[in-house]
Amino acid sequence: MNKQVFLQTYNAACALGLNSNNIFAALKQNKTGIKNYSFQFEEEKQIPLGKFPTNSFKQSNEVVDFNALSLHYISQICKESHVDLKNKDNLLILATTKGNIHALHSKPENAPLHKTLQFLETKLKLANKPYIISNACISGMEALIHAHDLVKAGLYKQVVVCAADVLSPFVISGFNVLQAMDYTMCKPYDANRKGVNLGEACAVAIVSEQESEIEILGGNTSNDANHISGPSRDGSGLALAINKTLEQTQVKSIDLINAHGTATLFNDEMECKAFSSLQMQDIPLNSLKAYVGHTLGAAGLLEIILCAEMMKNNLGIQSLQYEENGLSQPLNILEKNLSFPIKTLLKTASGFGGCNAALILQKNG
Amino acid sequence: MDKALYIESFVRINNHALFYDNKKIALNNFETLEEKLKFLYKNQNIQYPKFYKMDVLSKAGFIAVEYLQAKLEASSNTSLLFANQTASLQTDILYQEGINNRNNYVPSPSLFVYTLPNIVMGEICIKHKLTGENIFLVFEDFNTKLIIENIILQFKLNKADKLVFCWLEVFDNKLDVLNCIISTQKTEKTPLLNHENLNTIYHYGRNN
Repeated sequence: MNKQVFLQTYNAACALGLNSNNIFAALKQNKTGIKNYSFQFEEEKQIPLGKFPTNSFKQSNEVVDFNALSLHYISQICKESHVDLKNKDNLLILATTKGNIHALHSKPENAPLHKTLQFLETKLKLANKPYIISNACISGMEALIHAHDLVKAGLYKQVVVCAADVLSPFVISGFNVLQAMDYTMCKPYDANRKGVNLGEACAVAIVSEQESEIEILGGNTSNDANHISGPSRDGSGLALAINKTLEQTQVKSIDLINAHGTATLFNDEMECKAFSSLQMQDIPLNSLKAYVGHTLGAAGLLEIILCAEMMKNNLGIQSLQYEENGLSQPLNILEKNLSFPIKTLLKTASGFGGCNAALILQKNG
Repeated sequence: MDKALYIESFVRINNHALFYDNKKIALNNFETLEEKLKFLYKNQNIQYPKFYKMDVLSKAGFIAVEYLQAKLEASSNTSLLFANQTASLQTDILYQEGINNRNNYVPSPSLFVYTLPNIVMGEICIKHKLTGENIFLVFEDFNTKLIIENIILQFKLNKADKLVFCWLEVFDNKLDVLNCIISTQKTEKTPLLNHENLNTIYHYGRNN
């Protein structure tokens, strides 16, 4: 199978803006989209969140309508790229952890993920049944890897991927009760890191054989087989996913790593063990979580899109909020923006359930 | 060149019974899913106390794997492909109940962890030391085209030499589970993985 698979086109919305150009412009200026918002737990508290900047998609005061958000970005990218989902060679797949879960509060019949599929089928004309990848925080990456694999295997010509998650009391209360949140700005890899800042996002991409600037060489997932809500202590699961991807793609050198970097004590430490075990501790590395928050099911794809922008601009973006090394084995974390040729990029993510994902992008030509 | 794929072993569970290897274990005497699953756990003499902490989705998937006659060996080349219609909705509803009332605000950390459908794969990977590919898919319903396409994909790109497929629909007191081991090894007992055979085993036990 010698097919080459490309990131044909993409777009995204998150705390830094409603399209990927605006988001990357903010990244170049090292601006964060994370702000303090009032949230009602048992009592009210101010917590840093990466919320969308406008009220474009809101129905209730609190929570963005997941179905409308996804529909908007899917329709827009298909229209702008002239991709016809009525063509039987084209497929739509989604990635999310909780989808429209907020509907449990008021209209529970709309909450299940399969209802989102039904919703999209009534609004769009689709030749093929769409489906959802729901695999914790690697969902977005896994969907892009899956799309690559589908095209590479010759099963479809164009795959439209939409990865999204919205902030809701369900999710915020959950991360809070797990004590996984930082009540100040999150600090990936830093000695004073205390946990995540949650965010919301919608990312869309079209994957196909049509040549474009960014080639998707391939990706893999793995499982730690160790613990359901904490990462393995030695990083071997993540290292396995990376190794499988290196083997599969035959890549000899990596210019930049964009890692998961959620700013929890355990995740970031696990990553340094994984990267060090593969002799990758000197490769420039960053996390984008302090710019946009941890956008859960959307994170993998949103960050892949921002990686594509970094590659196109030959600009490694500063790993925001990193000041003092907090890892037992230091990594080469970007402390400011760095201009350098980025031909080959490794993206990784990890999630609850012990899952890990790795993917390699390369500039074409 | 597409390798032929075979259903090496399967377990089918519905509200009435668990079927495996031409055997049937009746579940009609038990009312709730929790009771049925607890009975199945004890019946197989499993000895894995972590079972009791799992939510109903994880218990069902875990049990299905334990009844498979083809044993799973520790491997980094065995993929897991799980799918259903409602993801983790059963547990989502339980968790939501804990946060609905500001005057009785009791979000449960143990429940919240299980509000991700892929956790069941994590539980199985831990017990059987499976470190390979894992993916959880949500379909509108049991769809043999999508299932077979996704299984084939893993083998076509050499991501697995064996695959654990599980349709794991567990919601509102309904058990609808089909667990198969898919491999490239043919024996005299193993049917080919195709629409007809998959549908046959899915409907197995309907009239039993």
